[in-house]
Amino acid sequence: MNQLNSSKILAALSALMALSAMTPAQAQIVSVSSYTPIYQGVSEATATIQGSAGTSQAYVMQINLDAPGISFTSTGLASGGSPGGSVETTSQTTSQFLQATGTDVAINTVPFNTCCSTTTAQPETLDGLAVSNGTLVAPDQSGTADLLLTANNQASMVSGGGAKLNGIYNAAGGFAFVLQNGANVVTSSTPTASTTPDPRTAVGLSQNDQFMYLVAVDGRQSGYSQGVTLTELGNLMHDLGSYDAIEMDGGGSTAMVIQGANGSPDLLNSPSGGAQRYDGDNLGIYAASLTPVPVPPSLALFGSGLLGLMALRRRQFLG
Amino acid sequence: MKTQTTQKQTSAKIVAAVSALIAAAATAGAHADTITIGNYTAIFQGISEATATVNGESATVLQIDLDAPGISFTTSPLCSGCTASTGANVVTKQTAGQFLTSTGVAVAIDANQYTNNDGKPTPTPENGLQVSNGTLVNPDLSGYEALLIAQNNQTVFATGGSVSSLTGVQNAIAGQQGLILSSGTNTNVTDNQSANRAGVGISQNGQYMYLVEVSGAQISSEANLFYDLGAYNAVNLNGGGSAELDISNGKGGATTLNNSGTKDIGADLGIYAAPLAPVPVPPALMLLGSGLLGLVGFGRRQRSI
Repeated sequence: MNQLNSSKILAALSALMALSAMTPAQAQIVSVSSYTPIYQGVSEATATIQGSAGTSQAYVMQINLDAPGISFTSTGLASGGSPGGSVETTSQTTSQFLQATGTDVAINTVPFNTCCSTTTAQPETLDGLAVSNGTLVAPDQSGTADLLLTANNQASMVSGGGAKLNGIYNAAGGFAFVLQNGANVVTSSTPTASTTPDPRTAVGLSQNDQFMYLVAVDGRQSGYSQGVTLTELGNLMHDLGSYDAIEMDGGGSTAMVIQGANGSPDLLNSPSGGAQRYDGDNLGIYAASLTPVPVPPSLALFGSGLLGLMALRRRQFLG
Repeated sequence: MKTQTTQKQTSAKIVAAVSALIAAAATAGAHADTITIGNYTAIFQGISEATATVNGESATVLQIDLDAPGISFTTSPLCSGCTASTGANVVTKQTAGQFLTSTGVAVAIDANQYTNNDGKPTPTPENGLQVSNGTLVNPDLSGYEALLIAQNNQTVFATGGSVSSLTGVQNAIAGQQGLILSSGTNTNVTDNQSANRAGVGISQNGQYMYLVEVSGAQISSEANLFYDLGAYNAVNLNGGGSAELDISNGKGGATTLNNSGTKDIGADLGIYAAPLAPVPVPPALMLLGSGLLGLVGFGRRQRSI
């Protein structure tokens, strides 16, 4: 009797825990589409966020860092530029960066100080760490948060000013952590943490650092996508499966591009300025094409059978 | 910020929630209204009831734990032959009690403002977004803050006129103004009218929903009641003679909690909840009981020697 009762209570308790795991109450509604593989180790999805300012649309890229063929690059040091100097990079749209590097996926990253125009190529200085293919482009800065990648795709995220760059092949410093150790860490004093909704770019890593999430949230477009607050961005990154996530440059800079079918860049999101901004820094990913769908065995047999018949006919003819 | 899945983190959250409540109680009185809140009594699994006063006027409060098992939502359906369009007839008026009885929900409260005020069970147009079980009943409208509810009870208040897609939205209702409490701050909506009020609020972490009926208050006082209850955002629902809050009497009928009567009204929000489970025997008492039984056995054996 005693045992029966306690096992019943246990069952009820575990049902309770399972249920609460399934229904995390949250002041935000996130719906993620199913993922579609577009390259080996790269899958694409969209997310709809019902937030305080209304509906927003986000474009999500999940990268399996263990997949064969995955490697990274980022905007290089400008010719004549120097890390920490008056020129670090030359601005490019994310599409131009994708084309110039031949990468398959690209996203805007490090915030930058533009002197002049965001609609033409300009010399830029960056507001956070940038490493491009083993070369330092912009120094690490405290008060930011860094994404670090080794040449063999070991990824990590550290607070700005504390990055150890030994073995780091590519790196991008963003505004701040929005998610750390699975918890939303946005407070009113986090950089860009206004309560107003904005277009936002973020990069996240799963707990085991195997999966990277690139996210572009559109905003400032009534009737399509309002944009999210920084808190909502943190919750979105959590819901996508990130354990740590950093907000990169956003607003009109937010852009995510993939290699289109005919080799021309395919812009996934709708930048709030109506066109892609010339951004100071972009991150690109090389990935292998999906293996062609194998011919079903019965069809292959049929094909070789036909070939055999043809050979037979030819031989007869020759004979 | 978010609901964690492990027991340890859950209890940490409860502690945090309790201390947040204490903190809220400590800061109560920072506003000009005199508000008292009685003790909560559990009435369904995940739903507790309390009475309150606002400047001497009586109020009823329901607190809903959106993580509790068995909690789910529904709203009034689109009327038969009707089209979800602003200005068109979209719902058939009924009392919140009739809505509760017909849907089998445990709790019902009046929701969107409606425009056909003939007092009869006739179809009416209404103002602001309403979604019933994944079906659009009335479109989003600028000026009417919407409460969106997902199937997993995630919620969000969204600015009226900004909801461009209903992806993930299972149910929705709309308040009559913008937020009356926004990120913990009273937006001080001016109305200079002490009227019956109905409203809904959500805690900062999204775990608790508060349904409120006040028998006479200005909207800013209603907002202060939400603040004192621990809500972070809140809207004012249709009030006056339309304000109605009902709970199931457990016998297929409704008990009206507010004392301002009932009326045929527009859309209602309903909440399904499981009845309270019988109180389990506390382990200590069980040990004592089995110990006593053992002693009885011991006594019997001694006697047989």
